[in-house]
Amino acid sequence: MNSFARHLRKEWLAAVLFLAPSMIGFSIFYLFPFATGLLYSVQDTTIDGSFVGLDNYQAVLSSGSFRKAASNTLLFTGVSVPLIIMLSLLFAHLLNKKLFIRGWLQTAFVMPLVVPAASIVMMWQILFDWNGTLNAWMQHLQAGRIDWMKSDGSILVLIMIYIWKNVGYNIILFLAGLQSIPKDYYETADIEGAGELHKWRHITWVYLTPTTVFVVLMSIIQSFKVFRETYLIAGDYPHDRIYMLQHYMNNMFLSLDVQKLTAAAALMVCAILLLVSAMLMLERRFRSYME
Amino acid sequence: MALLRKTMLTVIMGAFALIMLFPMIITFSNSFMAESEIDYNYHLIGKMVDVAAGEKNEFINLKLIPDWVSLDQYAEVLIHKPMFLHMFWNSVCIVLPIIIGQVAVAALAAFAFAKLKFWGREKLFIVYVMTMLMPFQVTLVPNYIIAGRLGLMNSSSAIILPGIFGAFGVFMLRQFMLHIPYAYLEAAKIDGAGPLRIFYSIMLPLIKPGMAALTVLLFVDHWNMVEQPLIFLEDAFKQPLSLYLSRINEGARGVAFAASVLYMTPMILLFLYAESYFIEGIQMSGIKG
Amino acid sequence: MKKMLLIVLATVFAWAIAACSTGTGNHGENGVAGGNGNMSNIGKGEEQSNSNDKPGSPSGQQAGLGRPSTTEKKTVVFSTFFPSNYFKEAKKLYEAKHPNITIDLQYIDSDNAQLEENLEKFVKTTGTEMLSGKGPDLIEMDQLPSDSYVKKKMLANLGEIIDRDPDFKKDNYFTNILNGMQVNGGMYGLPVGFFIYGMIGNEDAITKSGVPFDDSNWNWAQFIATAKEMTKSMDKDHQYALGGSLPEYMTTQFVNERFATFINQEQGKASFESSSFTDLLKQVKVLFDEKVVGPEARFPLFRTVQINSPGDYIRELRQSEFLSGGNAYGSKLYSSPSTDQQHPGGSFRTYQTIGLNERSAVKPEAWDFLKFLLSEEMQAKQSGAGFPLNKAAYAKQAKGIVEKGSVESDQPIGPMKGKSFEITQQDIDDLDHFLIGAAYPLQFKPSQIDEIIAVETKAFFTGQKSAKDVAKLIQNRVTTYLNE
Repeated sequence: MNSFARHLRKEWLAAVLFLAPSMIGFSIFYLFPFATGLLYSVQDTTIDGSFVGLDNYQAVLSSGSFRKAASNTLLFTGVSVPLIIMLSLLFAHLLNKKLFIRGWLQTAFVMPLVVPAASIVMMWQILFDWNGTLNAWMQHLQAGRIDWMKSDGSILVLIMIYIWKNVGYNIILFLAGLQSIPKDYYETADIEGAGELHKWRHITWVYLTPTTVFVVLMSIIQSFKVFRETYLIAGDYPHDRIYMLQHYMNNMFLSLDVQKLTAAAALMVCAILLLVSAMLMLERRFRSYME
Repeated sequence: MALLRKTMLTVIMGAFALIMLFPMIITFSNSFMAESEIDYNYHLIGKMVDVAAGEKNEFINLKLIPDWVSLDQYAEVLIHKPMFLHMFWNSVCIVLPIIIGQVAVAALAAFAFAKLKFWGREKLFIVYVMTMLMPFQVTLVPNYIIAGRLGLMNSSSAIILPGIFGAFGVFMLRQFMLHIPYAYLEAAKIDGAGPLRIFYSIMLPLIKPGMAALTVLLFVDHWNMVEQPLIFLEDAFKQPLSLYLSRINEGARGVAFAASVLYMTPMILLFLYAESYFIEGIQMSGIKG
Repeated sequence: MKKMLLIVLATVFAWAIAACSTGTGNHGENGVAGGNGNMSNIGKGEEQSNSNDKPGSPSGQQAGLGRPSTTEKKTVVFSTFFPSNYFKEAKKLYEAKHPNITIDLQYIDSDNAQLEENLEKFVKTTGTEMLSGKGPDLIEMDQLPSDSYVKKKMLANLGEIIDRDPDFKKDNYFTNILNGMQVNGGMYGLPVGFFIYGMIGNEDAITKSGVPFDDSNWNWAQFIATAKEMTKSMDKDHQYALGGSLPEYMTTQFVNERFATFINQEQGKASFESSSFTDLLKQVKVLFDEKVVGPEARFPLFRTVQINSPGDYIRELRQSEFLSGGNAYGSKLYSSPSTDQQHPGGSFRTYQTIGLNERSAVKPEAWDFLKFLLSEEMQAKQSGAGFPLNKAAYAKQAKGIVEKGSVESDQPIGPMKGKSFEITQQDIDDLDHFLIGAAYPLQFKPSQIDEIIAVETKAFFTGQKSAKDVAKLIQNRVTTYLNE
């Protein structure tokens, strides 16, 4: 037995010890429910259910509203997530530069995070209601009123609220990421006479890979969470532009149809799994570079 | 020249910052309106003015400065609604253990995922990530069954325990640890330090900015949590403040702004404090790097 | 500044940890909020339920439920949204009679400001409990989506239980209500009371007009035509054919009358974006514009009423005789237009409908308590909140009121204050006719489609949006609903 193998085994043992506390709780509160949820999706009832194969999946896929919800969610996530990543990266860079009152500015950008749902909903209504301020201005400009939340424009409002609320979250993460890039890398590059763009591409961007992976996934998760506010504004059955998978799943839950709910969730997870794998592949390249 | 650039940039960022702060400013200033003024300004929300019956079209009156400053709302919330402070306290008692627990547990696990090699590392990690993406409703029923089995129903532990073991912290700290070059750890290894020693005396100090960010984000996430307490805490005495502000219907509109201000205060304080931590973080990695 | 913040935070932190760990145990007893706060609090029976720990055995008792235990200690969990004195009283009496059984009455005490939150909580929690195989033994279904509960087989078929229980004599109850409540041949809830719906009409004016009509079988269009004919020669104050109705709700009634025209549930298709719907909207608007129907009518020929009790009936009927200034007239209760002319009959709405959890471990006891809630003894105590389902209890109520000979006005102010209305056996006989004729259940909560129509059409009737825009929105939202 050579020392390399012994070393590996030792590391494996250490990994188990480090993971144990998390794994125990995680299995009980997340892994088991997750697996049970998946199990429900191939059964007929939640209690003592019997196996029904892919019936639930078929039912979900044949639902026009599910397809609508899936395409809306894809559209919303597909547009708003790249947009928020770009914006937050830009703001993080700017906030990382020399500014007056930088601390205060950083704080201002993350403040929307703390605003409670109730306040957001109030603001939303004040601005976008049929009698809202925005319509008051439009009327003033002789442009006619729009019932924002009940029009095709509703998704734009949603994207706006989403970015407003979550851009701070991502800025924190990017700032922390930017700040953990060792300064000497830049100094070395300066000595070599590298340009700004070159430095950004070969140092900043590379070093931000793990953060970016994290930010992308978090943004997706946050994009699902806009549901709470949307629900409070527009209810169970909003205009079909903003009818998302979360609406579908929530309605399925309220009508106690856990089978369709879990089947829909499983389909969603499959789609995201592809994305996660791709992201992690990207990250692996970064890792091999680090090692 | 540099000064001009700095000023310009500050002005531009300041403008954006104002947009970001706008709803907070409104919330804050409107919290000093009397209930009657709130009602007068905002009673048209969700209503249809009957133009057909000859009523004049009116709009919601977004107002920045109250007609006269009044502490009515605060008095109403703090004095006449004893539940408010109680729920505030409940929130503190739920959120703090989650933060402490999750930061500790997650740091350990993240270290294993980021810097130790073991079979199935990637796959296990994907499983962690996937659970985060699951909508709440999907795991609700199994979670409910488990909470019942463990005797956690109607106790704040039903929220704290799952909170501690959430995958978010593991994921986030792992990403931060990936940044730390192996060279740092190798040096310690050659000196004969074990994994625990490396974790404690090298890794932890290096990821302080990450832990500060995690603390802030965990605080925000759990302070705003609505669904879990709604289902798992049957007893109204045990419910956190987030449920108080989960909806504002007409009846409660009058005090909504003051309640929101009070609700936000702890988070704002934490942000102000943690922000100094980020700066500290820079300096440190600057020295070490 | 930063240092100060740090110190403050650290202090709060340390204090919190100390206080949280010691303070959690006794919130219940020391009554921090003492129940006088504005938040909800869930009333609990004195004993924690432990009956639910054992898994239920729904198949074990196919042939009848068997007798409730008289010796074994059992707890029946009964969950309602609103607290109710009727249930509290029943719990007390039942527990006194059955010392081994505890009724754990759970309800949510909420003020108006928190009503929606609490309703969300109640609906979600109950759903989760039921899905996880626990859940209360008896559930008040009024606020819950009972269709889903039935579809998911979570409620016991009370129809079957009744058939197998010789103690429960169907004839003792209003069988038309029991039959009306059937869903796909089963019955999944029993109401403690019910309301009936009809129209109070100005009998004097109707007779004087001499227009022939048959209120036992008319639809809305016929009603409108008839009433218009009747009011033709009347003065301004009496021109309205129907009062107390809003255009939004009028529209939902018209839609339900021609349901198949607008909705094809099988194919998940809605046809609101059609001239037939926009015409309907305009038609309703004309009715209101021409003051045929109006909420603000002073002396409408008819007005829709919900009748809650014999006393309520008399009050609704007689108060028009006490109008001052020569406006007094005699009234009569007529049938509302029906939506299905093939099967005429009045509508009713059940109140405090109680379902039995299919997986309950104490089914015999829960059923026994449910029967007690419907017994003559309990039902005779029912006052105001609906007619009792138990016929004997109703008869007793009616007899009492006739013997007394009059009903006091319930209005604390206004022209009717302190008036007392006479009552005779004839009145009760008339009312009986309506009670027995009620055949169609109105859902306790309006259907999702009705709700969408009512919300969206409001914008049209207030003149804010065009009929076309409104139709488009309804089409959009209803289609989503139909295709889930």
